[in-house]
Amino acid sequence: MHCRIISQPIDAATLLAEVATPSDGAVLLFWGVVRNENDGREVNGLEYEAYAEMAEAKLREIVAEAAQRWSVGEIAAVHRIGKLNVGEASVGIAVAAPHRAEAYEASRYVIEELKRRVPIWKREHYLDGPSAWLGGSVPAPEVPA
Amino acid sequence: MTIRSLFFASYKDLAGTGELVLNLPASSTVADLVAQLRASSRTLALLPASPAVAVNMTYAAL
Repeated sequence: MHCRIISQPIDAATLLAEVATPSDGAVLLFWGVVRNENDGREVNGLEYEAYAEMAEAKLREIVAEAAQRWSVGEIAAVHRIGKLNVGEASVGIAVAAPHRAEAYEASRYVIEELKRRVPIWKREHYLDGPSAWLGGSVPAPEVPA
Repeated sequence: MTIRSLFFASYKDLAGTGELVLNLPASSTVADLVAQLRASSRTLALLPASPAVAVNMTYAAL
């Protein structure tokens, strides 16, 4: 498992190389990129803030769940924090699996769960006004491990 | 007990800091902590009544 929060640009080739083994027929990359627009407002950059220690722990949890549910090999999940420009990648999730069906399922699961419960927050900077932290949902209470 | 509260994003803006240390009775609940924080400053009074909270990195209910 390769789960980390970093403040440098994410390298896709590194992620793919981290997970791929000779038994994998599929290596899938989800690449999350900063868009130039949200809700009709032009975005000229954004910044991510994380509770890094907890975010990495949650990423590991999510990856472990995916590995339990689907027959996959290695999964790497990396989120970048700090200031990002439009076009830069904020998240990279690489899933290696013997077969593509499982890779697609696991990849989807990891990104959806990441958005639901990994403590990372996004502030958008707009061309037409002050920046704003984006609202999310309050994650459901968990039973302590 | 000594409680180290970490703040992020909009809550950090309200707290004016990323970290506050408080002393609370040993029997205190998460709700008690939130009430104490909301009472501690004019800006923290704007913290939601039910904010997103994790205790020792586990999401908690109020």
